Amino acid sequence: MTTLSTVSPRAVARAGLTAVLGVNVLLVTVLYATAGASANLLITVGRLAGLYGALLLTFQLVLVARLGWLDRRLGMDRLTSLHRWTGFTLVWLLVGHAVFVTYGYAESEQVAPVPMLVELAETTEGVLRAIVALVLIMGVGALSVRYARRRLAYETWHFIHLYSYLAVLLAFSHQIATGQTFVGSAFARAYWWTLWGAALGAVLLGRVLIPLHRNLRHRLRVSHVVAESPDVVSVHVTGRHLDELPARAGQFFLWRFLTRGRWWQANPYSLSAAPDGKSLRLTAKALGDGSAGLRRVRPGTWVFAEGPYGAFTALHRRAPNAVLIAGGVGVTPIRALLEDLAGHLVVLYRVNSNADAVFLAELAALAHRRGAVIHLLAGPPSAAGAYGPLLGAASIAALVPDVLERDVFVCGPPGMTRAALDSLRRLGVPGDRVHAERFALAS
Amino acid sequence: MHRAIPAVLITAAVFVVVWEFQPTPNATVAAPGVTTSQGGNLTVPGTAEATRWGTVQVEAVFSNGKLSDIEMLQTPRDRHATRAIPILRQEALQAQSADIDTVTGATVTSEAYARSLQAAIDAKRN
Repeated sequence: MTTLSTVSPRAVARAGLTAVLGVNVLLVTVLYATAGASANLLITVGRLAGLYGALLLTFQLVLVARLGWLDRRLGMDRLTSLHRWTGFTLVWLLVGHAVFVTYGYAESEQVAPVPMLVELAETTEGVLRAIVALVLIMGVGALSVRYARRRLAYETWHFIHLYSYLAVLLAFSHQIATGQTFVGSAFARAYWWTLWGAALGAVLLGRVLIPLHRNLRHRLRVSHVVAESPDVVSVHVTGRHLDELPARAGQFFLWRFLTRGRWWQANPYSLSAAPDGKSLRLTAKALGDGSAGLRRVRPGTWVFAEGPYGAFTALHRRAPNAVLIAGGVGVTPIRALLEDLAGHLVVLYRVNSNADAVFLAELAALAHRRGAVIHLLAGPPSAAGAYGPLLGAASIAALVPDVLERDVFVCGPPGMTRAALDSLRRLGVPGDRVHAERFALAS
Repeated sequence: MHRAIPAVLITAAVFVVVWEFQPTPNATVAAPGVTTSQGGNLTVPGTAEATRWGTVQVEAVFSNGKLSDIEMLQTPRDRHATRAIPILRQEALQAQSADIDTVTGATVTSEAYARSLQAAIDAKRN
């Protein structure tokens, strides 16, 4: 059932994104040049910065629209990381736009910059809106800096992040009302409307319409809840027409359990079994508020799930056989992949103690059926075996001598993932055969 | 979660204020040729002349039939124009007409200034 792709899906998606961005940068530059540069160099630089900043803003929307095509190829973690860096770039471009344009006008009118900005806001259509939009975007950017982000609950941060949409609305009306590139050219205006329509349309489609449609169609409900260990719990979910849900082993959903007090919380949990068309199973460790409460979810509870998301799937296979490296509760998508992946499979299951190893019986049964090999590597993070650290390069090479000929799927907590990826790099496993996904919401 | 509702309400109120804010353009745009008199003074706006640097519109003030002052209703946002306008005013007041030399480096503004002033002078005669 698995076909090996000759071109990495990641490379295809990257090339696609680069091409779309490149064409639009070119078009914006041509339209700007056609409208005529300002006699003042500062104003010219400022206006270009504004145009490119606004273009990146539309690109940002596409990156977080959760479009299936992009998500299956790059994965939500890579898209989020791209969104993060694009975000910081665009904040600087927009700050540059405001500073250069203000200084440019201040120079040509021989007024100090601050009074000039005040005058522009009081006399020119859309400038006050633009200033408010910029302040909002700077605020959203500042709170996304790691230091600030770590100190905020996900929900608080996300709520504040939604102010970006207000900024987008304000900024767009500023661009159409005052943008020299657009005021004089019907073609430029039509292009700009199309671009923003497409970007906002993508967000509406991916984040609202598709999730709504899927949930109305599938009507998901909890069928039963199983404690896998003292702190790991599985929730089984059933619904209608689940065979039509395009979910694959290794993917996750953002789950909302519609009970009073937790309907507003969406948590990313991986499917811990390959979807069989009749039910879905998610498994989570009692880490945050959300996961600890999962144990108390009652059968019959309505579920709103957004997804499936993630690029941790057989789509990315590059070799006929594979190694699956799981760390702790990161075993959940690995458990699903063990059912789904073709070829000979080796599982390295790293846990801090034998008591933490969930799904052992299931894994053993699957391995027996598939002819797969499972190595349970138990011990505290500092533990070492005959070949050094349990997931060190020498240990992996000893357990899987043909690791260089295999795909490697890694899922686990950040420290363990980093260690495993580092070992694989040292062993010389080609980058396009290594598949890892951080499964956490934007952090 | 409980803080979300007041936050949304405050946001909506501020948003409406920002959205509804109407900027006042720098110049009051007067229709050309509509004269107003005040005491012995007669004020006549000229035509608004669009240039690539911005719009030029003068307002001529006559006292006892003589051109006594020229005020700006609309000035281009351009430093060459800003520099040229006092010179053009001086020239026109001396010549008592719109027949004035262009200021070097501000040709376009000078010509637009002359046309706007001529319109004001013509409107006063009619």
